[in-house]
Amino acid sequence: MAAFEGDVPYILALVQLEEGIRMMSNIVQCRPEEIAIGMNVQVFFDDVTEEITLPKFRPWKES
Amino acid sequence: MGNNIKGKVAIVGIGETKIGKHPGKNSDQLAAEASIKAIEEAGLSKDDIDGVLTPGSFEGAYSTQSAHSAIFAEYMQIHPRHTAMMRLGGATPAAMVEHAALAIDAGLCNTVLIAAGDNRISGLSRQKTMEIMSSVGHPEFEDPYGPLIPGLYAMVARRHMYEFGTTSEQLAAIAVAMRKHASLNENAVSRKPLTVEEVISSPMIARPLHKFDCCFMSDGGGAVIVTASERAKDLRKKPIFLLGAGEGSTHEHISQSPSLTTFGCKLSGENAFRMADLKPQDIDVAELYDCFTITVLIELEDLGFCKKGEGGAFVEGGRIEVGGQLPVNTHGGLLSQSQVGRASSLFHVMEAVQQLRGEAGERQVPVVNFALAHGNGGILSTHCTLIFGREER
Repeated sequence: MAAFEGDVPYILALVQLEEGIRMMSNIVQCRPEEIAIGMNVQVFFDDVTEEITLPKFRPWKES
Repeated sequence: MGNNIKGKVAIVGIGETKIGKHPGKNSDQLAAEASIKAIEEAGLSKDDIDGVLTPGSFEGAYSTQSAHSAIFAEYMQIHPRHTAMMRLGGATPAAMVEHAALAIDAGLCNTVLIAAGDNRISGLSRQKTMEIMSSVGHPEFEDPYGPLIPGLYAMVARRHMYEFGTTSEQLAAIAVAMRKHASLNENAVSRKPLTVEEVISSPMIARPLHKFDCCFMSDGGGAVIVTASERAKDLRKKPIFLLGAGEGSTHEHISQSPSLTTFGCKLSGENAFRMADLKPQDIDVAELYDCFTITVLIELEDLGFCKKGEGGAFVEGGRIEVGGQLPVNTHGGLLSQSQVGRASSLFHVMEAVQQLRGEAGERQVPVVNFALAHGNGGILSTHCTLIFGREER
């Protein structure tokens, strides 16, 4: 758990994908008070180590 | 479902150790201490026991030992005809009572000792405890995101608040009721009265769950003796009959649960009430697994004590306190008596027995004909509901 110490408070979320799958992930690049149930998020791929890449989510922004 | 186990078995002995800190005692010593009390209370000798069920413990080698029930039987010098170690998380002790009934009804054995002890405070380091707490998610699809048990239950609390407008004050009322009951129980760890204000101003653990929305750990052990109803009538204590039992499970990992507000307790409750031929309004006292306040709220709704979404209003105004409409966790529960590892829901079962015997002392509910005990394991993953009565029916 020490690995998460620097991230506290981090956001644990269940994300409903348009493809039908529900998955656990982290919402990042925003403050906890900006999070709301039902908000739109978009995936990005976080290379946490050389070998492991995790799908994480950030608030949806129109590009 | 034709034949069932309604009224076929009874609990004839219970035993518990002091709950708190037991440095120098391992989990089996705690379970044995409780077992000896339970066997003596029933007026039996250990040679009358021919079935042994255990959940193991969180301690050292035992945490992975699949034959723990045989280890424990050996320790007790009991030679069982039927033995099993069961692992359904916090639902295990309740499920072991159901399993004992099945084994007795099937003729595999006559008298079952269910024993559980754990020493999570004295036997485990803080580091080891944190490792256990942080490895409950799916190893590939959940754990990389840092879920701790409070964080996973917090998701359920947050969803309940979102869908039904449940408040932190309402969750706090549950913690307040458990503490009030613990103040009446000499074998409870946290007995100083608590207010709603104190709960919601306690440190945030995982939003929206505060420190006092969460249970805390202690060392301790418990044991119950289950035997056939016919035999039970000849023993020392008034037998408390098992009238209904049911299980239900919708998932192991919370990300795979079909719902975040309705869980396997709905199915386990329906099954238990159907077997007992009783309704929720027949229950005089409910001992509900309470690792967090939100757990109790979900169970009250899914077991049918109130409608889905109305749990917040239901727990207010002292309704779940002794003297209220449905006293819940009259022993103080995991929230205030304390969590004792794999022995935890055994204390809910034992309190149901005490209440039905009329031996619960200061916390006795005046009229108790039917009591319900419920165990929950994982993240609202495994559930077992038991309904007990004073008569065989």
